[in-house]
Amino acid sequence: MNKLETAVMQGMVVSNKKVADNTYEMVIRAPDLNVANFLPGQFVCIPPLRSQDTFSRPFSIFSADADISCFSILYRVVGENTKALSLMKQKDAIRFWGPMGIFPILPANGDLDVWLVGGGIGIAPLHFFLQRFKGEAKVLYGEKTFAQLVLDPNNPNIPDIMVATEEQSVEYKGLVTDLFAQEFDRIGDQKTVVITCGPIPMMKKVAQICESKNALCYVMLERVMACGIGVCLGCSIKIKNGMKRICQDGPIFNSKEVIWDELSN
Amino acid sequence: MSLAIEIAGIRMKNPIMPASGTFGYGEEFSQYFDLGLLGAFVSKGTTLEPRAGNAQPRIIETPCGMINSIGLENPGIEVVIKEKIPFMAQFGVPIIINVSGSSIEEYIQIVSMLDCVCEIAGLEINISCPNVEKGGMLFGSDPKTAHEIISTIYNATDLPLIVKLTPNVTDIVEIAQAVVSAGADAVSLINTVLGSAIVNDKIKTGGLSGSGIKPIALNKVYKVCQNVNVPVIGMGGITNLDDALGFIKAGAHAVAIGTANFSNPLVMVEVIKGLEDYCKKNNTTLEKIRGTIQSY
Repeated sequence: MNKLETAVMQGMVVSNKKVADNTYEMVIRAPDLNVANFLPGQFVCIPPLRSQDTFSRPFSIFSADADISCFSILYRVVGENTKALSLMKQKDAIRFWGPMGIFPILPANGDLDVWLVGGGIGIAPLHFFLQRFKGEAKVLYGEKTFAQLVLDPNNPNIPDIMVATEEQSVEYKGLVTDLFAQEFDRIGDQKTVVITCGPIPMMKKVAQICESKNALCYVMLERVMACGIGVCLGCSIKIKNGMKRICQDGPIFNSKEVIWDELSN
Repeated sequence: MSLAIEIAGIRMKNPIMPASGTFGYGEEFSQYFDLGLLGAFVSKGTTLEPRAGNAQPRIIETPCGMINSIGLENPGIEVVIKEKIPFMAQFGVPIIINVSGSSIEEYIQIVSMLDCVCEIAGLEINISCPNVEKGGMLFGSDPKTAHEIISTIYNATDLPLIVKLTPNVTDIVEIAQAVVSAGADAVSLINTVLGSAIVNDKIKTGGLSGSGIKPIALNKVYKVCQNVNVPVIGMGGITNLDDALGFIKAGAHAVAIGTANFSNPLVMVEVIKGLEDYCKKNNTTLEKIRGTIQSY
């Protein structure tokens, strides 16, 4: 058989640890894959772990370390497949394909400040952005409860982070969108790009705030996918310049392209 | 050990192909394996004009399957001829274009345009579409309408015609016989099964596919193989070598794999390899095993 089957990988679970309430980070080793080429916002697909399930599941890249050919995914247990994922052990084989997704062409950096605004598990791809930007970004991160926080506000590798929880917080009690509104009000004339990922209403609010300041904003969209490859068309959505597949044409979109009503289902 | 077969004059190196709608026009899968390994390409359902498809939600996972209501999102026949067919033509694999229409006139227009495209080997006619001129009744749900549309298409092209049959009818054998008498060179079945699921407290209806429909598909393929004298391409819930062998033993000349591609992009090449090994190990050929299943 021809040996071109390289984008479907057999990786190995290096670790699979609970990092917050109902939340796990799985580190996967994939020696045949050059993880140095992974781009922030990209994801991998993992086939269903139960025989009665049909859809592959997409997981954003949370971090990558090319020196040891490893990357990690962050996930919350929300159903039987993620439950099965959480039970996988060190040295278990894990099949996946990817990375999928494209990275937008950002304006030349220069004087551009990067803000990463994450809600809930949406922090996963933003963490990889932070890694690639070598920590030079302002992070605003919200969860419902303190126990769900994945990022430690005292982590020295994340020098500029503010967290918000609805329950209690070190810095801010309330929604991350309100925290963002408060902080973003101070940017003055500073040129910024905001990248946001989280529930749709949260990203819509962030996009509206950015628009009021004429700031560049990218949102990370997600839909149920069957394949992640771009053939099932299950994740196809209408944006202002036509139909786009979130898996191949996204998942990052300029917020000005998004038709928010299309995402209400 | 050769797995070569011939369907409707189309020579294929093996009997494995993708089911329409699960392969696009090959570009995405080309990153995952050598497309030249497949027996045939079967394209996404293509319409005269580009179609945006249905609003979300479009796919719902169900036990052992999925419901889809994609709505035939496709770039339209002009883009397919200009861009997609040239891409597919690189691999030395026969290209079958799946076509859909909402009126007989639309089918004829698409077919007439494809008739001039020398790179394609055949057409798969999707008659599971609603006929908007007849209140949305499916073309393929009535033997008379099915006969009418296929005989009209038959007169509009010299290309081999494979007609894709819907299982959502009272008697699929009747429909199969009608399209064969109208000129179909082969039939492919089954298309998806009408089904519904509830998600977020609302009901969604679409086509059910996946391993859960395999018993339905096998039943229909077996019955049709017994009652028509043209090759049958069997599909519906095939996920592995054993499934493929079962359909071939039930009488299918070839099999198409669809939903299984989503959970394993390499399933088609794995089944091809499995078939090669099976024939070698058992010193047999596809001709020898085709149609040999015994019934209780």
